[in-house]
Amino acid sequence: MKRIIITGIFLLIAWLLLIGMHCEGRRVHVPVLVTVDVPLQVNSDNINFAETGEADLTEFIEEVREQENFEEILGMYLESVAYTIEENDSKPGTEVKGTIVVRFGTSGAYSPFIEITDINLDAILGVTQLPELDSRGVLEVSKALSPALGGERKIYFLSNGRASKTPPPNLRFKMTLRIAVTVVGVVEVDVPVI
Amino acid sequence: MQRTGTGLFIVILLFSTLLYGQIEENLERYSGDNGKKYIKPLVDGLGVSMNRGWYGTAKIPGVGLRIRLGVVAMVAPVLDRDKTFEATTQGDFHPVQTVDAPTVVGSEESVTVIGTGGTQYVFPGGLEMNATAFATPQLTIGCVYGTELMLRYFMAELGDSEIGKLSLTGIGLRHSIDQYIPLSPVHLAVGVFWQKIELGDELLSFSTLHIGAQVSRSFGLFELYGGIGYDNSSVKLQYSYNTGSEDLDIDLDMDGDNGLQVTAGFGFNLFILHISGDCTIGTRTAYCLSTSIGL
Repeated sequence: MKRIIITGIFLLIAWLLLIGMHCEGRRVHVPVLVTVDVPLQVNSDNINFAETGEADLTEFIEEVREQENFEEILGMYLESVAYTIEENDSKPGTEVKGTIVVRFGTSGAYSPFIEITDINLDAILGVTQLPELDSRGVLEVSKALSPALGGERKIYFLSNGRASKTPPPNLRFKMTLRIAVTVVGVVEVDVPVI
Repeated sequence: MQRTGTGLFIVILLFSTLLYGQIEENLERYSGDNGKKYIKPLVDGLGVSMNRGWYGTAKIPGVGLRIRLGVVAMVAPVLDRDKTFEATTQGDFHPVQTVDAPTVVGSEESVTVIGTGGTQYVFPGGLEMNATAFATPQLTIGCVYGTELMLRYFMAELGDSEIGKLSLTGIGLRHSIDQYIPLSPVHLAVGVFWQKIELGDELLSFSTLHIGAQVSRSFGLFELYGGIGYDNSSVKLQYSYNTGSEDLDIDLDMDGDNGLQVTAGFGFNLFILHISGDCTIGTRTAYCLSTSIGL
């Protein structure tokens, strides 16, 4: 009888020790970064160039949503834009200047996004550049990323410019825009608490 | 939302697939100092918690049978200062900015900073923990020449091919000192205690070490005890840092909040039932409750 009582007290205390610990659900905000590369191939026989490119973020965002087990998506934000001159077959010393404009959807006006000022193609070949971004262009990208819009999330770019030093021919180079977008979702987890 | 009730071994929950997976997921946003600062409060808290509960007395008979099996529950409240850390933006986001962002035990909500043209950089939220808790079964075996052995062990298959199994191994050795001091008014002992938690194949390895001296005195069924010792804890963690275009393997190796700890506690012994509770003050405060049955 004594052994039963003591065992009972032991089990009761063990239970009391552990009942103070339990788990509560948490809705943790988790940002996940995705990047999309947009190639812009310039192949012009005169001093001007105008090339278009597009970034389709739809697939990437859906992939993130599935992989991360997001309960909901709180928002999608443009985190950064970088560009790199990856190939350059222009004349040595060629410098270019121009703009990259952006729009959400196939119609409507482009918004200014990046200004390129007299870059020496040889000098920055392979070196990632972090340009100042125009808030109007960032806003245009944000429209495409708005969760409320749903559906297709395609962004269209147009690069316009001209050789500012060393005239053509041979204004030939490849620029890649890297668009980094953060998808912020909610993940629900149980956390031990007292 | 899934809610889990009381579990026998809370540590299984803490390092469960889901929770560990979430910590790892949030860490993917960080590399270098950011990663260390984000995870450090959990390492510090767990290190202090896990090092507790090894003893409830300093009385170790010179020769005799001692077998006690019990449960030890330990908890270290999360300090306010642990909730945030100075995080710095990474990657191509510019200009570089430093802000107070949640640590792994901090707020669930993310923190956002604004960059060039209105771009946004988002720091992940934490798990909003109010304490780091740990519970484990413990077996005490003795006594030979005033020496006893403590063991902690369990293993669990987490059923996730990416993570695999979780294991805890702990071993402690204590030796009576008062046996060498005739007519000592108190019991004295010294001990060394080591533990290791491993998760998966080198995903996480968390180890603790405590070296200390203990003192106790009995008053009938009751017992007052205390101890002083040095805590050491360290963690090795492997995760992937997401640059957006690729995942970089990160090996994170860091020490916990190591230092001197002082413990004071109160015990109750009734036949084969032993209950004790104590408070430890040092680099941070921790509380421990244990119950065991046995000789």
